[in-house]
Amino acid sequence: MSRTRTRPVLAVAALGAAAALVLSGCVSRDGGGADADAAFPTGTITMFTPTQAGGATDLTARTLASEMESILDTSIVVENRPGGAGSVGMQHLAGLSADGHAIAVLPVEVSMLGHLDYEIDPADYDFLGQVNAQPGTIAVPASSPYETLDDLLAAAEEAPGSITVSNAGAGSIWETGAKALGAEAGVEFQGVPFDGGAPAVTAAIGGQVDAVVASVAEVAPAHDDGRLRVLAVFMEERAPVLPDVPTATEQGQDVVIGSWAAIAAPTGLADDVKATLEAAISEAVESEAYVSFVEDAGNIPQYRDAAEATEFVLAEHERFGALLAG
Amino acid sequence: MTPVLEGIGALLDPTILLCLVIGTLLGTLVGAVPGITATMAVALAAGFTLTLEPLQGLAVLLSIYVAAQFGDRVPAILINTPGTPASIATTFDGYPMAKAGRAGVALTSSALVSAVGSLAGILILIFLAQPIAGIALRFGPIEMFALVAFGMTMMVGVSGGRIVKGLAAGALGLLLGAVGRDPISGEQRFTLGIPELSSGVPFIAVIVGVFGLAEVFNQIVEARSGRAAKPIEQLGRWWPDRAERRSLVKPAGIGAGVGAVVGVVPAAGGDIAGIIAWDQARRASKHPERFGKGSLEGVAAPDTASTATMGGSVTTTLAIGVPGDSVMAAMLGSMIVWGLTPGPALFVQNPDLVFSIATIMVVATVAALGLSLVRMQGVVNLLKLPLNTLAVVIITFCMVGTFAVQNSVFDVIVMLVMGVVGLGMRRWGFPAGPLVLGLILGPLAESNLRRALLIDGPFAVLGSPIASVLIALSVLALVAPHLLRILKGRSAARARSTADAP
Amino acid sequence: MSAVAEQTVREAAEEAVGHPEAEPRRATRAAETAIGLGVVALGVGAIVAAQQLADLHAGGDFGGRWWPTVVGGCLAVLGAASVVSGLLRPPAVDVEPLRRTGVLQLAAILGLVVAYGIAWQYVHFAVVTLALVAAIMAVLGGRGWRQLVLVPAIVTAVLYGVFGLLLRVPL
Repeated sequence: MSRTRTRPVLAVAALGAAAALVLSGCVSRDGGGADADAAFPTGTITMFTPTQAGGATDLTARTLASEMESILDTSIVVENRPGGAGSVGMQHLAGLSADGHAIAVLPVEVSMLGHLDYEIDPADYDFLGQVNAQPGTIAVPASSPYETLDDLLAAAEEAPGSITVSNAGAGSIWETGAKALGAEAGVEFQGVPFDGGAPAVTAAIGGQVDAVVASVAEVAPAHDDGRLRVLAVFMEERAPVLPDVPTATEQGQDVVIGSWAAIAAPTGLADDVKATLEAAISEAVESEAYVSFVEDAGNIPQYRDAAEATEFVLAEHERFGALLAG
Repeated sequence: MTPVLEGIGALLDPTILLCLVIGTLLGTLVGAVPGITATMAVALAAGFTLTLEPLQGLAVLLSIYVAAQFGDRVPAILINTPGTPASIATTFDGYPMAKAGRAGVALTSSALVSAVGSLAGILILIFLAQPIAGIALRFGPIEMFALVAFGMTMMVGVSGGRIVKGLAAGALGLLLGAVGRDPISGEQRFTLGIPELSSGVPFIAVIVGVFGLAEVFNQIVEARSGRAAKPIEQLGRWWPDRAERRSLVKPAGIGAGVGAVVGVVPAAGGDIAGIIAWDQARRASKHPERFGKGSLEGVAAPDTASTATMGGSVTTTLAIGVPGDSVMAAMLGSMIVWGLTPGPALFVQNPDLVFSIATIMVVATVAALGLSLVRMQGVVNLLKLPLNTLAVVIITFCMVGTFAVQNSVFDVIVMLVMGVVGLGMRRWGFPAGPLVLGLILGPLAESNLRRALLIDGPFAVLGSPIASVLIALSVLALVAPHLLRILKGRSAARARSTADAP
Repeated sequence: MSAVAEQTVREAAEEAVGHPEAEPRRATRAAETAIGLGVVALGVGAIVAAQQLADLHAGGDFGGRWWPTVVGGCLAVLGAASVVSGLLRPPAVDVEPLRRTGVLQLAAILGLVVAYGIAWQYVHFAVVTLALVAAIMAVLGGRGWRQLVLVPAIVTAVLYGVFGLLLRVPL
């Protein structure tokens, strides 16, 4: 194999040049810079999610993307950028150019992480619409002595810190949900963070903890077959999938908290691009495929337009600032 | 019997067969490429299968899940790189076998016992789902900690005789596992301000680095006359001979048992089962000294165990709605969208579905076995590549595969750094197995122990019979070999040990 | 190539039958001591770093510090044990001696990979990968158009096909 002694460096250089020529037709990695005159969208739109493929946020993105593809008549690729509780993907989005070809489904964490020592600020994003709501609940094992929210709060008041409440993880929305309830009722729970929502709910089913704070979707199946008893939902009205469970407000505790997802772009979108995307999102959210996807999972296809969503996210950001400081 | 017939009958649809074939091919492929795991493939495929009918979608996802467990053995045996974490323990003996020119026997035996393990796990799904759901629910934080502690005692066995350095490597793995946000308080720990490290050191990158890259790097630095030494020169026979086949039986039995139990436990999957089974088979073997040096038993036990976990994981997922491992976590999302919400209710409302799933897995197992046996002839060509080409292929595939896990350049950097660290460990006599074991088990051990302490205070273990038994077993696992040696000391063992000493 | 191959086969065969080696090479005491002390330093470093962790939401005695502290302690003890056992009886070495060219080649490859990572931010994946594969081949002694053109082209095409097109990885 050592018979031909061509100079390798030269060969490599020539090869690189040739390949560059061949591939010069290909789209560059950063996506084509949109022509100012051309109507948006001018190429493929990338929809990021700051989560792993296969999770709830990812499936939301993929369902919406396939609807928006036909509305905008362009291809939309979903790209996962997980890590750092979502901060990696969010920071990635904030660093991209605001031409409308980079958008993302951002979960509630976008309004929380800034208070948890991550460099995330909702002001870095233009919010184009809220696409769902996942209200919180508090539930106890079926064998629990606590029949109502008041029973549970009374027990927590009697012996502060004795009532263990599992949640989806340190810094998760459900840990904050338990804190919010505690703050409203003036009692102290012993939070037990698990690695995700499902293990937290299972710990309550198995009776390892006294209660769990989780989303409606996560507890509704277990409530229906009698393994868990949901004591309250943290929303303005009763949840459609749990019509027999009163809200916390009905029981005298004004706690409304939950997870949600919104579509966002890096800040600084042109007005017409923003309007096009906002319209496409509002249409996609109403599509039958999307609505049944959200409702089948037990969530609520709540929509807010760009202006309302922006206001909502900023209000959430402020409120979590107060809650998470405590 | 009606649900059985209905469940199987529902599959008599050519499109489902097509989905099975696609899934099996995809699964074998992603399994064989280091970096891409079954979890990732299932998650990606889930995006496409959502629009399919539930059974069609399940056929794709489950057959990826099953077939990946066959594909991942190939790089583990041939290039010392686990295709997915489930085949970490396969490298312990598979690669030494390959280096000794017995890759053919290792590959074929591995495929055969993997099929046995898979079928054993599926039997559990069919017959024991309901009682097992009850046991799995009792696995709270303290029981989980006890199981993980038992797993950590395997570090001794995995150290391959270099116990002090092996344990040091294990401690290093535990330390790496502590990087990231504190699991309970959410505080930053050793993250150096890097956001990617908040979710911990990416362990797939570490596995690919310390096993695969370190091996290639080592061959390069040991290179003779300017070329990388070729890892494997010949594949040897394909079919295990009679004696070899007989030697597979005991480790496969141990592996199936270990895999079934570990599979049922939520969040514990094929990687942990493989390592535990390897160590248990070593203890039970007539030739424990051959383990780690190319023992066929050492290939059979972990491979049976990691495939046997699949049935258990599916059982846990279906029966209590808690993912039995990371692949099932990805699959759970799709099932909920299809309206097949797992939980005890599923067995009442859709009993036929359980049999459909079991049948899909059986067919996928058979298909993956067939594909493995046929495809192996093609593997020969890969190994006929010139030495430098093989090194380039391994380096580039490891890099791109690791990038693909999270679309993250940071992961690739971690992999390269761990490749160099792995090279250093190798040259200084530290085994890599305990490091990876520590990295996987460390976060589980710490977070579950601290959860248990939050719930029950310092005496959590005493309140749980399962945890007490597991902790007792862990202590026994550490002490028993020494006790046995003392007991046997007066007879044959003494003679052997004096013969061993230089 | 054939000479190398034969040698490898012979070694492999020897390993297979567990041929008793004449006298295994042993590590030097100095090297073992240095390695062990390195491990001790790592463990002590971990303990020190753990003490500096913020522990605001302290979970009583078992906050975020104790686990890394315990592990760091184990590491330090094991490092010390490794020094002692290395001094008493230096372990057998089971790796081949280093080759100077090999080390240089590895350094060159790592350098190339870093350059590749940087270039990738600006140039299309296929172009940089083609160049990287060709360059590594050249470093590892590849000569001729097969090794420097054909192999890089095939590797790049397979990588791009499997990951870029099939798995939709954003390369």
